[in-house]
Amino acid sequence: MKNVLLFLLVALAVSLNAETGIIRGKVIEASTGLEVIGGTVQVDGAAVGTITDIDGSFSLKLEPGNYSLVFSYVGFAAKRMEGVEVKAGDVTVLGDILLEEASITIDEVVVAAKKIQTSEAAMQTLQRKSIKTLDAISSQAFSLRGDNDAASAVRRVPGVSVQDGKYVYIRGLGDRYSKTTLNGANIPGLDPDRNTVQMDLFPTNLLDNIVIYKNFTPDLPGDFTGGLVDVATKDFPEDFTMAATLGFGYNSQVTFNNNFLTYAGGNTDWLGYDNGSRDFPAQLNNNLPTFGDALSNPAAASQLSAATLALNNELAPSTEAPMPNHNFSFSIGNQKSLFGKPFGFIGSLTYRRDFSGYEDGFTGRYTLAQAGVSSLTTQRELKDSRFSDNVVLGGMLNGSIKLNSFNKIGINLLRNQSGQSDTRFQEGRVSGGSSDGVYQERTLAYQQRDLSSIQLKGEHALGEAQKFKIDWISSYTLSGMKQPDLRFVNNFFEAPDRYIIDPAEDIPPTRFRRTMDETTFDNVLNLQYDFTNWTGKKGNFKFGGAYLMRNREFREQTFRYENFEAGNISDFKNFVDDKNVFSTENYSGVFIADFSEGRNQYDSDMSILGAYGMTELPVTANLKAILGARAEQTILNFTSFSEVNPINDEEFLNEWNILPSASLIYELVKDKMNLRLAYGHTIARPTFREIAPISIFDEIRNVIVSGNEQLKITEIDNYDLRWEYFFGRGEMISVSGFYKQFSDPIELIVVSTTGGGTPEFRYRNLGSVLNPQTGELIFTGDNQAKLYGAELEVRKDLAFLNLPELSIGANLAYIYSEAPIPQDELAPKQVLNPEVSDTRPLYGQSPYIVNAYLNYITESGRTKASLNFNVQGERLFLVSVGATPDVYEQPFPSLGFRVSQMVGQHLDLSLSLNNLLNPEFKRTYEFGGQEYYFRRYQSGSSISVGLSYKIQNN
Amino acid sequence: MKNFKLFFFAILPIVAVTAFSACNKDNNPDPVVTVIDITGTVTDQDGAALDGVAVASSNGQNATTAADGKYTITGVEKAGALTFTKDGYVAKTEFVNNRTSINVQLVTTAFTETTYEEVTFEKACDAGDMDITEVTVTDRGEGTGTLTWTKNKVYILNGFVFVNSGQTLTIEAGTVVKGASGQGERASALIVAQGGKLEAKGTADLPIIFTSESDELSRDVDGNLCLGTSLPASARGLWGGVIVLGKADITAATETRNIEGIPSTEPRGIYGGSDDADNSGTIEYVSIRHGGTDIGAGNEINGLTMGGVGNGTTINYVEVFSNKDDGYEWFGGTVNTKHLVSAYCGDDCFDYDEGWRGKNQFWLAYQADDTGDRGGEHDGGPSDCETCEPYATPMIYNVSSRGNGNGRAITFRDNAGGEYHNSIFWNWQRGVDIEVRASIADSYDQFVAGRLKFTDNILFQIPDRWMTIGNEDSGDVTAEQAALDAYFNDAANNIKVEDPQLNADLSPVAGGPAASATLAAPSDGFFENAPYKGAFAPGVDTWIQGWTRIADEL
Repeated sequence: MKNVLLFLLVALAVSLNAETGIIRGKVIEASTGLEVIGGTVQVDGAAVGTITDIDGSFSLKLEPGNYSLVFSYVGFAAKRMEGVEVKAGDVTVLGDILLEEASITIDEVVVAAKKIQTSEAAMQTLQRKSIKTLDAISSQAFSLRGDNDAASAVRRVPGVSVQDGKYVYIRGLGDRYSKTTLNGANIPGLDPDRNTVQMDLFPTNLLDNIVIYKNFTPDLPGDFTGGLVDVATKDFPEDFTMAATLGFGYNSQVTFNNNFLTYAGGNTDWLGYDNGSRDFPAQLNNNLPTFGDALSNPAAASQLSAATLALNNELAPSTEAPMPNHNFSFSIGNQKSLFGKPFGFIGSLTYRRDFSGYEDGFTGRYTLAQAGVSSLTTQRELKDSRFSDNVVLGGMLNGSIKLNSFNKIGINLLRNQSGQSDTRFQEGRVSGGSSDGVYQERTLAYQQRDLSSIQLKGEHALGEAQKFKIDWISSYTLSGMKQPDLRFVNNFFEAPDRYIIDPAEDIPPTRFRRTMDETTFDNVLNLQYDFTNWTGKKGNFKFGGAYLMRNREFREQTFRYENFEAGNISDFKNFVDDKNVFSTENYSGVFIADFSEGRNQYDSDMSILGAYGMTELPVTANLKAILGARAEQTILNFTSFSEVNPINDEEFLNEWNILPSASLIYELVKDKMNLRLAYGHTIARPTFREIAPISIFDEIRNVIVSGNEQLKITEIDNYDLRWEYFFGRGEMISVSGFYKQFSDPIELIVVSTTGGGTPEFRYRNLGSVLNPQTGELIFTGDNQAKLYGAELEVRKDLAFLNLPELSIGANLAYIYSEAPIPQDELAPKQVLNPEVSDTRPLYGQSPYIVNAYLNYITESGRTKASLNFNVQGERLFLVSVGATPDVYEQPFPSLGFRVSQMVGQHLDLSLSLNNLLNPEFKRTYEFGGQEYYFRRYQSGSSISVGLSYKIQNN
Repeated sequence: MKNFKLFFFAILPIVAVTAFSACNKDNNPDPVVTVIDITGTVTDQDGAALDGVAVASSNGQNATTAADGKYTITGVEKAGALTFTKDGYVAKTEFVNNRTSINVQLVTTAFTETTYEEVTFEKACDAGDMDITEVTVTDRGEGTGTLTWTKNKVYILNGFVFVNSGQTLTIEAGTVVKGASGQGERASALIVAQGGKLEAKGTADLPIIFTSESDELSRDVDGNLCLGTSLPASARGLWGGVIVLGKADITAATETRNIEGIPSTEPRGIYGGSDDADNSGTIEYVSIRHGGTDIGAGNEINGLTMGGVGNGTTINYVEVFSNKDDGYEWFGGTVNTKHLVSAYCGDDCFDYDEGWRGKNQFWLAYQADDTGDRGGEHDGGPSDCETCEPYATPMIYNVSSRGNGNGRAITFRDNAGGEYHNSIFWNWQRGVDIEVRASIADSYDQFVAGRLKFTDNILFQIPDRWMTIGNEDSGDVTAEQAALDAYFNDAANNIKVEDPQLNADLSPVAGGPAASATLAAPSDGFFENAPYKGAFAPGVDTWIQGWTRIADEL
């Protein structure tokens, strides 16, 4: 199938008619950064010409030779470009041609033909001109900095940080308050407990740009507060392009390490999916007898022991040195004529396999047990080894056709597949165990994620001077997550060969299978009418709507090994065998039991209907306003298959929210300096998991997490002020301040549970108190959390130091956040610590974020180097039970270096050094001036080499 | 792909209409407006309109539904709630959450009532075929109600069955109650919620037996015993257990807590309060067998769990046999007990936490040869409140405690106190552990303060040390161990290391060391005069005869 696809791509990419050549380019308004639609392109001295289309693009087919072109549009000074060379069978790409507004002094500008690529500078024009506060990264920036996936690329944007290498935090606000879209349409996340998409699913060679909106305007979905990340896929290549890359990486503590933990998987693991090798045997799925059945029925007893033995016996990690990390990608694109219409396409295939991990990590658990002590009490201290093998396979096909100059439609097909195998072994001391031996914990896990999406989109310009514009997208996504056989085993070990599995002490060995399937159908329509008002400037009215339907199915199977008598395992490799399996002889021995629970199986539907109206209104020559409002209706229905309290398609949310927004942009110095002021009202919805009134055991954190059907939607008021100054090509400085007020933010609160029992956390709106007698949430007035912040961004080249090849950039954000601790959670803390603060930072909020880079690029552009630094302040990771201090994730400064060199016309060689500082990743409790580690490890420095071969005409 | 039929063109008109209509109203909502008008329809569980439903708002507004089920209620607080009531239907409260339209479905009370489903069938018993009536009890939130379970029926607990606040469940002597198999939310258990009462009074001849559905033991429609293949003693975890929750004081940072395994989504799982004289009823001549399954999130259940149970409650002559977790566990409270048997349990025999302060006499702890942890596991406050008061200070007289040679007889830790007197401990790996921690208070501090006592006891066949400082911090505990050794050797404490000389039925051989005692139990109306060591008097039948399962195994 894939071969056929490749063949088609190559067939479509075959070269042009050798008789003539083509000139392509794009005309944009210098003052707004918007494309000029219907502009004239004239070959000087000949009766040949064309007009620019809906993208502002044009294409001219000419005999080989040298030409002068004249670009003109009503109200703008014409621009003449001289010395445009056309070669037979080639495409000459002119890039962006900027038209200035007409004035008395200038009526024609003359420039020399020069190729401009999609550039950081062009993206900065968009940033400068946009009336929204946004930040953007171009495809050029991806390759300059060597970012392989969207997650590493977005980290370069002011106020953006990435957690676990996947989840975007904007201005330190976690995924609850951030949002991700693909080409402007919603795509689902694959983690049932999170709102956003794993950004590492998008390899950068599929992407045209990533734009981060930090202010709400009515034409954007209303459920973001920190920011909205829009990932745009590549659309119309200007010419034939083909690129192939190959890379290898070495990690100091992983590659070739003989202690790398692993376990036998399937033979398609390297392709990012499990071929069924981890599926549970049929005996487990078809009427597995219970222990009670087996005791009263010998046939059931033998069926039970057969099922127990049928399960894969591998419950302990093995070791094997991993090969180097490797990756390759291939992409191809062209612009051709299809049925006489311009047709652009790009297809790509990408593959990565990365090994990571550590063998000398540490995990600890501590409690504050009484008042007046100077140290925390140890609950457990374990040495931690953990290794992962992560495969990502992605493919994309994008086709766009211009039906005529003013109508464009496109289709985007995306498929991503990723598989991660995780193997972990922990060993050490736990307090109060039933044995004096060493406590051991083993985890063998595999998680597979996939995403398939089809998007249809269109842009249309109508009417006189194309004043009406319509754009739409309809996006249908199927996504899935599967953990086929998560194995979780803990035991005590007494030397030399006694393994004690004590079910009364801890959870017996357990195997889970979890699947989640989601479909998301999102439709967005925008209508725009342009006008020129009293200021002589262009403004517009914009109306539109969106309708999103999302459906999720979550299923979980749980099987446990039961009936271990102390000390009856002497060899972990033969965990269950003929000798210790359940038998009718004396009705003892190990058996497998079905612990799946109906309450852990749920379906949920959400629909969001949105509609908006807004205007971009020039008020004076220098002042522009954007005013409008959006209304969104949220309907959420939930079904739980609990056998005790089934919930049948019950409506938990049905609410309209009105979201007004107002922004002002004042041009202090034309094209150079702006002052922006913005207000927006946004919301944050509870996730399916949070609103589901069910209690699910989280075996990773060893806690019960309960949802709450009484949750309200969080409402947020956002205020932003930004000053920005653009002073050279790619140079700028900006300063922002922002204030956000959250009403009823959703938090995970500790519930008071029996000491020996599993702790329980429950979702609540801030300021609501749970009445334990009735289970009702009582909403008190104390429901406001606040956040203040300041952001600074600088980009500057060092030409003034006579170092034109060098440029530096830095951005920093400082954020202060405060949320009150609810009274019922505070009271137990005060018992042991009367001085305890009654506020804490917002969950996951860092007080500062710093990004800095130093770039080097020679004038020819053939040699590039960059040094990047990123760090963010400590953030709340876990709220502790009682007076025990909360756990914070400590700053993890990251330093990377990349250098690349072109060799010949097509080959580019690169060398990257990552995580050069190799700091400790730490999550800590702090008490009495001392740090206690909740988790600690180093991930090792890595070095990688890359080879890229690119064919691009001109 | 069926969703694809809803191709975007289909929604264009909807979007356009909504866009304009939405813009007409409320473009700039006034933040001071806190009341709104709400309309909606009330239907029954089959979707039929319900008239005459009273709609009341939390700020005192009222309305009633019309024949078409529709209502309009004005002036309701945006952040308030609406309550819908109609006779014969379960009342429902909906939070407004800014909604202006609230449609509600009311279900008939019949739909949520606890069901008692009866079936009578012929069963092959040792004495031939007998007619058995089984009643499956399913609690849908209403609890058991106030009624009596009788011995001519076998009651099957289908999941959690609660005795709700205000209800009294009486169980007739001789009644057999069985737990359906299942784990987690499907686990079966009888739970006496705060304010509920269980009156389970068996007799030595007609004990009340809680066992598994897989147990053949039943009584027929005339109350005669039907026996069949007996469950092996190794069968544990076949169902849940019995949980009693009261309003007595517990040691915790909060007044009430949720009992382990029952998350806060079930409010009937709370215990604790300030009424130390609280009365949860009577449990007498009750045998609880083969239970202890996981009732949720890795929490195995004890045979008899007592959370904040007050001393108005009577617990006397109770056996827990082959429970997968502990036999008994107290979480705070003041309840007193007599004549308890904890036999063949998978974890500890007797376990207390969160400041229990009961009086106790005549306990038998008896471990199976292949499983079981401690004889007594005793904790003080929970880990977030270890030194909080009240301290755990139960008084325990006349214990017979026989291990399987692996575990410890007793562990005192986390600031737990308590007293053991006139007792016998034999066949354990280790004797009594008293934990000390370098930096924080622990049970050793209770020992120093005189709230942890261990006198007039016999220890035998315990290869490790008799009394040990359990050292959690690997610090130097030489001084503490020396103090404990001095206590152990002090003749005034009368701790003997010798063969107690017991008969096969565990009663003391006449004239042997266990047949007499010098320490008299307090004469306070609770304790009985028992001048011997261990649970059983010399020269008479032991009190476990006739009604316990362990008596068959000895």
